[in-house]
Amino acid sequence: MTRATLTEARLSRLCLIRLKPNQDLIEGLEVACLKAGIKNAEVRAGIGSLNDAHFNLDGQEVMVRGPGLEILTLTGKVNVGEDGEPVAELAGAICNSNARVCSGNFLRAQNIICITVELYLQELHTA
Amino acid sequence: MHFLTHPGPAEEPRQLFQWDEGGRDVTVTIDEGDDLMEGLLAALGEIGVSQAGVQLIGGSLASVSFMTGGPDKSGERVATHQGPWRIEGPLTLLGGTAMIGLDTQGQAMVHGHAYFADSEGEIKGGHLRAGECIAGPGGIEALAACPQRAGFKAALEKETNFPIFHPLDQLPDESAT
Repeated sequence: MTRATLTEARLSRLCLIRLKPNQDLIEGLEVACLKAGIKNAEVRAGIGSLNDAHFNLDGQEVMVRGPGLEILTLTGKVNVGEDGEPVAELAGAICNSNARVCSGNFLRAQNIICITVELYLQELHTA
Repeated sequence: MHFLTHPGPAEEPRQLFQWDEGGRDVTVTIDEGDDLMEGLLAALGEIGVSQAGVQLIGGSLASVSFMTGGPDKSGERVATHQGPWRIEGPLTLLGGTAMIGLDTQGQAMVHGHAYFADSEGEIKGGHLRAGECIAGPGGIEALAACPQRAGFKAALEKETNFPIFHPLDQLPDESAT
């Protein structure tokens, strides 16, 4: 029988984020974090869609044409940059209309949200 | 950069968020023969969870049915779902995400995307169809971050002309509960 098991009594704070269309995935997340006062966090879950996708794969830029590319997974973190503002790094997997999957590190300012992106961020405490 | 013109007005703010003071981590095991999406909802529902951000860690699928995204030629939206695709297993679930929130009627729902490999290593992925993604031998493992009070609820958005998850405290006016 399918079952759920409690594995940890309590999480640190969660921030649920929704990013609207026609903004960059990374930059949009950074703006959301700035508004929410997030300094350090990890992505616990992320889903949505992109117009096109641009990845960095070991120094090579890979582009997948959309629109309507489904974001299958999102992982990454947010930290405070040298200027004191949030800096996000995201990796993930997407698929196109033929169900072909591509993954890598998302490039800044080149992954425009198509319909929506929804994320769960978990706040991290630094020493 | 590639921008698209949506059917409705682009309303501010462009980023929505809701804090939760701390929930719990829950591991879910979907047993062989159970549906992935329905199993997630049922298992979490049994412990009182109707909101969660879920990582699909891995496992196997006996069969899967899914949609992909592409341009909407009707002009009603910039993109829409295409398919369905249906693949019989055995398949190895490689990863995925499930967002659990409330539908427009206030009932728990799940929105899931995943990718998987067949026995020859060919990988495909897409938007999972509820009731048609059956766990295979060994089941499927998932890790859910479950907030205490925050959450998402679907509301029709004029801009995209889709029912979209919004934070519970930032629903469009006509959808506020």
